[in-house]
Amino acid sequence: MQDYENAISVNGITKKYDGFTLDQISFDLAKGSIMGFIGQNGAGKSTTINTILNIIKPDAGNIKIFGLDHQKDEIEIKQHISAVFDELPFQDALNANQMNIILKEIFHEWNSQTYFDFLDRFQLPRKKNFGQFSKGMKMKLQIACALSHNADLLIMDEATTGLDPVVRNEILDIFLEYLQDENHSILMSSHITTDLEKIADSVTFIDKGKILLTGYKDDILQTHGLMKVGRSDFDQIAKTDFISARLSEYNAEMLVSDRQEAKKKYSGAVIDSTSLEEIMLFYVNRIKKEWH
Amino acid sequence: MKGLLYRELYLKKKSFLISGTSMIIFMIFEILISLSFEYGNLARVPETDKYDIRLIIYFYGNVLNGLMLTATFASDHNVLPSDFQSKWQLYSYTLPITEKQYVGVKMGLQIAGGMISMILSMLSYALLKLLILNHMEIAPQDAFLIKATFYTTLLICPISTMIECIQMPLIYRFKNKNIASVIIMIISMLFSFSLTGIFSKMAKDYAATHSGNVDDGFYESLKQQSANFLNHWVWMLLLGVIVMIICSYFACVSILKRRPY
Repeated sequence: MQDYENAISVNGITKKYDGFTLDQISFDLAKGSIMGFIGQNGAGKSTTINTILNIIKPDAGNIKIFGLDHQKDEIEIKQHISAVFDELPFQDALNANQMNIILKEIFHEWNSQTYFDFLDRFQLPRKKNFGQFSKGMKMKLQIACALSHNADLLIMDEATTGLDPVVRNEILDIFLEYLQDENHSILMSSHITTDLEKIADSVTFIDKGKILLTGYKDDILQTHGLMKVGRSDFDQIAKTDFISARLSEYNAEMLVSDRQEAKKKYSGAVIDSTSLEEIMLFYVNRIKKEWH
Repeated sequence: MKGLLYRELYLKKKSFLISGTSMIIFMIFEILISLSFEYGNLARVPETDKYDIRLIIYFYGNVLNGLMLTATFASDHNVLPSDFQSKWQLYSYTLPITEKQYVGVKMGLQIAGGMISMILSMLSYALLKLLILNHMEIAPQDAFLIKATFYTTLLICPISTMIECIQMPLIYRFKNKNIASVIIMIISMLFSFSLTGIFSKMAKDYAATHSGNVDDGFYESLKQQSANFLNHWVWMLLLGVIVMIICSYFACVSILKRRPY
């Protein structure tokens, strides 16, 4: 494979459905990093991921994975990527031993030893049918499969949704181990922002099929802030200076995209740091502008 | 390619065991009921009954049918809808395999299944003839029944392969087994009506030239007409199956390439 800078480069992807449009999606996932792909349910996360995986054909735009065209060089790319979905895509009648035999023949770099090591680490039975697995076990199995063929890119669609915090943490630790190799990258979609806050290097916010924000997580958290003023002072704040405002009886909280600028302009106001969850919440309500 | 083949075989093994067991149970009941109708009480079957050949015919005929149906049940019919249900269909797009490989494995196994069924059918008939029928004097109606059973079992294979060939692209297109099943049911009904029409015509042709009760000549004539009919149409049927397989293969590959999501 040729040398590349970005594991994924998405440029102007558009896909129209009846009632939903993925509109001019563009972002880059730098090699060796982990990107959180954030958005509420129905925002377009899965459609974007499925387009990257070439499960969906876009109406416009192009995607490069490892610097290669995701449609023309599909087979070569897919030897080096792994996809993890929110549900186990293997039939209930199969077992872990059989999956080893199946996937060994599909991936050139499949490593049975690594796979069985993961099974032992996750305490997954080898001969039990997947139908008898719990949700957590199914997810661990998917991850074991995903990490056993030396993939350089891991693409996950809501992989940690519905799991208990212990399993989620265990899985997040595995991802951090995986990222120790500088050639490995992860694109992880989730609406559980706390997970992404822990491990993501960069984040991309999507809402109603449009990218609202993309960049390094630390930069986003540093530049954005939650400005708090009394309800009576709220009218003095220019509407263009904040993304949206959450109003209560006595207070108003506003998300500002430039903390420093806001601090200069409204010196009396308190501006706190914020979280990815708050940022998502305020961006999602940007059209209403003021909400309760 | 080999990985996909292993997966299909693991899944088919399961469905083969389930459908095979239920078919054997069904077959035993069918034989017992058939014999009860023939002899009333099974304990009273006379040992020297010159028509005890019917026991063999019923038995082997049903065993053959059972084998055919079991092989047919173990086909794609069961695996393909479960690919959609389990999201394997979606996952397979993320694997380094081409649409041609994916469809090729499924269709290859379908053809292999049909051929194995056909060979089994022919072997069973040859064995039956060699061991039993060659040493007995058989009444014309029994001879007709034996032939009819053989032709039926022989025809099940290409017909079921043909049905699968129609069903596969329909399932890929609609991602739904029910729509495909309704279309297949309509085609099967049309086919069965045509077959009934053909046999009615054969009976009418015989009745036009003969009078009185059904006699040995009727069975002899029917056997002859059936053989003539099959000799005339069997090549067309085989040709039809080959054309259907090729069309179905390209249709499935084309649907999968379009990524209908």
